[in-house]
Amino acid sequence: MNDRIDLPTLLALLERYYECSLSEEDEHRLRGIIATTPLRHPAIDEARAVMGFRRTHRVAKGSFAAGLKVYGAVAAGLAMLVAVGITVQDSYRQCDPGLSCIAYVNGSEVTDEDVILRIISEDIREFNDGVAADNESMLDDLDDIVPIIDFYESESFPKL
Amino acid sequence: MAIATVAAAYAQAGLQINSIFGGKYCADSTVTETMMTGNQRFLKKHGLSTFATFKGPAAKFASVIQPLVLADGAHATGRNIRYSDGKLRYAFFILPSVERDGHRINRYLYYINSEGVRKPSVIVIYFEGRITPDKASALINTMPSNLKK
Repeated sequence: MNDRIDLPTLLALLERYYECSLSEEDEHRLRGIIATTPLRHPAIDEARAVMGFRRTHRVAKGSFAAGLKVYGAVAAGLAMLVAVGITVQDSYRQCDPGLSCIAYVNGSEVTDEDVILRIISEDIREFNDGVAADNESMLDDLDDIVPIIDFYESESFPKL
Repeated sequence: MAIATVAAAYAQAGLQINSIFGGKYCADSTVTETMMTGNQRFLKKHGLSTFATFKGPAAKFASVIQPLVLADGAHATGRNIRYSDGKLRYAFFILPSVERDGHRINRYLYYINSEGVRKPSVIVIYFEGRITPDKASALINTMPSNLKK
């Protein structure tokens, strides 16, 4: 992945980033490009927000001091991201702070992402089964109503 | 500033249903709770920043969770709800979106009380992110069969 990248290529890479189809190495390089690229585009700003980078002003190309500012900002951003992550999870998680992927099953803590995804999948399957059963129940109710509506619309129903 | 950043970073904060997450019932052997936030690949793939589920026995949790869901749903911008025998059976709410780092975060809340089945349970699903309403529905409908990291 070339750091001197053009905008269409960078946007295509960002799309692949959101699709999780980049290798970890390419993703790491992309983060470096996003942090330092002089290109401007809303998608780049959004990626910086997603990745935890923020820039407040453009940096003159080739300026050592400006370069230091960029890296300083990136480092500060990463440090803030870590601090915020810890703080959020610490205040949010009473049982096990510091985790961003966690489950409690039958009173036990689970942190394996694959296991958690299976639990989520099972919960949603059960949710969808419940919705299907509820839909059937609603259709049964409608079946009860249909004869009444038919009678109301029939000739034998007294005219008001 | 850190406090403001924390509040902004977590859009679920401020919702009533937040009280059932966060490990409050982590010691309850009848409860299953999941929470994913941050840079998980599954979340990135679907344009999400948070995904959370809660499942517990209906007899124990319906009376606790129904008021919370309805309170959050009172502010919804879109809804699909069904009652039966005076109880909320199904709810889908599109909650008001929030701004984070200049970007709109959409929020969705699902609830079902399946008291009519063999193992009655209450399930709450909450997620938020850039995901659109159409894609949110598709995610719930297809996720059990298509779940990949």
